[in-house]
Amino acid sequence: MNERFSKLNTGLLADRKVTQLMAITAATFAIFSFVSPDIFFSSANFTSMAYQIPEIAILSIAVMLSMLTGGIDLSIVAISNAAALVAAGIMTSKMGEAETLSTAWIIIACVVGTIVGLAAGAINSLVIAQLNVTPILATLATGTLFNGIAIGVTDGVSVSGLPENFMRVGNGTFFGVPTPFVLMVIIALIVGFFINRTTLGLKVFLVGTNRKAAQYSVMGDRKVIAWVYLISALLSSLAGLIIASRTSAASPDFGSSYILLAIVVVVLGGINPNGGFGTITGVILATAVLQMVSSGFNALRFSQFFYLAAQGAVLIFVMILNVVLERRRVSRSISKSLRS
Amino acid sequence: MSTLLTAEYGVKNIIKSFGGAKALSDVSLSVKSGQVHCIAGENGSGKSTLIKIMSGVHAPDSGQIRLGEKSFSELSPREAVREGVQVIFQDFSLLPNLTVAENIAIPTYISRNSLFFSKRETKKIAESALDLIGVDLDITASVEDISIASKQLIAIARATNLGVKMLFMDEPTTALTRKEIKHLFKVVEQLKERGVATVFVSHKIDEIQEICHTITILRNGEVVADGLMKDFKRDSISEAMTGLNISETRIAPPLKETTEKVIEVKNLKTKPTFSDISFSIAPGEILGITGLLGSGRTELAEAIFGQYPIDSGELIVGEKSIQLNSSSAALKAGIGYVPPDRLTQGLFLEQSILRNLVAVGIDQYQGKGKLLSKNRLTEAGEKWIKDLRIKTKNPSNPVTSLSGGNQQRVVLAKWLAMNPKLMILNGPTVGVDIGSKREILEIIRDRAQEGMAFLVVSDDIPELVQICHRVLVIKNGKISKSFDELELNEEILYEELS
Repeated sequence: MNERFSKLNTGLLADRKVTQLMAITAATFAIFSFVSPDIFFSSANFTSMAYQIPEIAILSIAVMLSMLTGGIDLSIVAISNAAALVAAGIMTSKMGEAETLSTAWIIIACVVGTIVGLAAGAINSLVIAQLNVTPILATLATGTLFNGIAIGVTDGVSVSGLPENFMRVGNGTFFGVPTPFVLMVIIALIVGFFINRTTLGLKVFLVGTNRKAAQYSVMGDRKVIAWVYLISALLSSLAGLIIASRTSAASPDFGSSYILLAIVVVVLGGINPNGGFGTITGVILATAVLQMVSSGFNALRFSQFFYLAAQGAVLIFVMILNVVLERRRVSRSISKSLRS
Repeated sequence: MSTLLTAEYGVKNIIKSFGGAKALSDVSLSVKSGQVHCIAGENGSGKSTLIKIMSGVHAPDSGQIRLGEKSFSELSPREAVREGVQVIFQDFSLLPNLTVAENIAIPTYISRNSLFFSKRETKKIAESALDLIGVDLDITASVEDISIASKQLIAIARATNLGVKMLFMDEPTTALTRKEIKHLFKVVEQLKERGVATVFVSHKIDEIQEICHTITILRNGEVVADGLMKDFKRDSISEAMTGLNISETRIAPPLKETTEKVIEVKNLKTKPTFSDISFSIAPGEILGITGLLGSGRTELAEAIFGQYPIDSGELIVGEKSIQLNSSSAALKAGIGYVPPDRLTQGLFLEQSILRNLVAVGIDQYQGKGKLLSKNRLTEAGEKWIKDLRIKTKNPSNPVTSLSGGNQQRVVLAKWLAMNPKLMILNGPTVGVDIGSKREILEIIRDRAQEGMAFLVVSDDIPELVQICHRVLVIKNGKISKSFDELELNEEILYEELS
C-alpha cells in the first residue's frame, strides 16, 4: 500500500494534537511527581487513579461521539444513573436479605438497565435526528426528564447495598490491573475500531464536518446521527453500571459535575466542538491529565473547589489555543494553495 | 458635486501574482467622474482581482491605485470605503431579514459610529438615498420579499449614501428582465449626473454598448484593448475577450440516434417554483437548462435529485417510476448530482481530499466483515486523482489545499465513482479558471461518449452552447423554449433570456 495514504484516518492535524497531549500528560505527571513525591508518586495513588479514570473516560467517549457529529449529549449522566438505578433496583429486589446474587440475575439486571439506557438514547435520536431539535437543547431537556423520573421513582434516595459479587467487578483486579480500567481499555478499543474502521464511523466524521454536503452525498445523515446518540447512551449505561459496581450504590443525582468534566476532557482531548475531528487517544490522555490534576490537588491538599475553577480555566485555555492554532493552520494552508 | 467633475479614478501599472500565477500584469485603467466604464473579460481574465485590489481586499505587488487627487500603493477595505469606492456584488450582500430602509441605513450608522438607532432617522436616511437615485420603493418591506431588481436598487442606494465616488457593479444585469435593465440604466444615468465614476463588469455586449462610454478588455490578466466604446464593434469586443484562438468551439460529441431514455420527467410541479416541466434525456445526451436567477432552474435540478420538494409529477428512470422527494431513491436509480456551491454543499472542506473523493456510496468500500477497507479507499482515491488529473502531492491534505478547479473535480469524481446513468451538474464550472473549465467540459464530453447522460444547469451561455446537445430555457418556472443542436447559438439564448 502506498505510504502517503497511511495517515488516512487520523489526519495530520489530529496526530499533532495527540503528540501535544502526550507532552502535556508527561509534563503534568512529572510536575506532580516532583512536588509531591510521597503522596502523588505512590502506587496507592496510581491505583486509586486507575479506579477513577474509567468512569469519566467512558462518559467522555460518549460525549466525543456526539461532538464528532457537531452535536453534544448532555444527558449522559442522567442516562448513566437511570441504567444503574434500574439494574440496582432489580438486584436489590432479587437478593432480599442475602449478600450475594446469582451471576445470571446480575447479568439480567445489567442487561435490563442497559436496555433502559438505550431506550433513553432512542428518545434522543428521535428528537435530534428526526425532529431536528438542536442537540444541546434536546439533550438538556431529555436529561432533565430522565433525571426527574429517576428522582420521582426513587424519592431521591439512592439504592445501596448491592450484591458483593457485583461489587467485585468495580473494585477487583484483572491480572493486577483494576477491572474498570481493563473495561475502559476494551471499550476504547472497540469505539476506536468503530470510528476508524467502519463505514458508519467514516460517515460520523463527514456528517460532523458538513451536514449539508453529507445530505447532498446521500449518506443517510439522520441515520448516522441517530446511531451516535444510541451508542452514546449505551456507553453511558455501561459507565453507570461500572460506577454502581464500584460504589455499591446507584443514585439519581450521582455525578452531576461529570457533564462539565466530560466536556472539558473532550475539548482538551482535541475533539473539535464543531464536529469532524478527534481521536480516542486524545480523550483517554485528556482524562488522565485531568485525573492527575485532581489527584495532585488532593495530594497537595488544595481545595476541590479550586479544582473546579482549574477545570474551567483548562477549558478556556484549550479553546483559545485551538482557535489560535486553527487560524495559523488556515492561513498557512491558504498561502500554500495560492502558491500551488 | 462639481468638485468631482474632473476627478479620475483607476489604477496604474498594477501587477498582482498569487504564488506563481500572474493574475494581473501591468494593468492600467482610468475612469473619469460622471462616466460609465466597462470592464469586459472572461472568467479568469482578472476582472475580480482588479475589483478586489480597488476595494482593498487584495494588495497589489506593485503599481498604484489612484482615487482623485490621492494615490495609494495599497488600500485596506476601510480606506477604500472612506475614499468612496463601493462594489455591488452579484449577491448584493443585503440582510434579508431586515427592511429596505434598515438595509440602506445601517452602513451609514456604522460609518457614523453611532450607538443608537432610531426608526425615524432610518426612514429619513433611506428616503433621501432613494430620492438621490430617483427610485421609489416601499421602504418598510422586508428585503427577502422583494424582487432581485429592487434588491439591486437598494444596493445602489446604500452605496450612494456612503458617498460613493467610484461604483463597481459586478454582472448587474444577469438576473434582470429587459424592462428592469432599462430601469437600472436610468438609475445609472442619475449616478452619472451626480459625478459618480461607474464601472460595469459584464460580458453582455449589447448592454455595455448601450450604457458605457469607455471600455477596458482583459484577457489572462492583461489589458488587451481599451478606448472609447464607439470605436469598438460587437465582434472586436468578443474577439478581444476570447483572443484569436477561440477555445469555445463546440465539443459536444455526436449523438447516436436512439429512442431509449435514461430519464423521463413528466409534469413536474411545485408551487410556486415550477410547473408543467416535462422532458426526457437519452443515453449520452447532454441536456442544458438555463434561465435567469430565480427562474426555478436550480430548484428543478435539486427536485429531480430529491433535495427540493415536488408536489406532483413523475420521474421515470429505466421504465420505472421512482419515488419522489428522496435522494436515496434518486441515487439508487442511478442519478448523481453536483450541487452549485462546492464550498458549502459539495465538499467536506476540512477533511482530506481522499475522504472527499469517497464520500458518496461509502458502503461500497466495505471489505471483509463489512469493515471499511483502507486498501479499497486508497485505490479509489488514487484512481480518481489520476483519472481526473487532480493536482495534489498528498491525498491526505485537506481539500481546501486545492484550487477551485481541482476542488470541483473532487466533487465530480465522488459522483463519477458511482457511475450514474444520469449526472446532474448545477453550475459545473462556476469559479474555476479557464484551463480547468475546459478540462471539466472534456470530462463531461468523454463520459457522454461512453453513454452517461448529463443535465447541465448553468447561466454560462457560451459553456452551454459549447457542450450541450439541447438546451431548455426556463422562465418563471416553465420551459419557455427548447433549442436543439442545429439551432443552438449564444445570441439566440441571450435573446430568449432577456
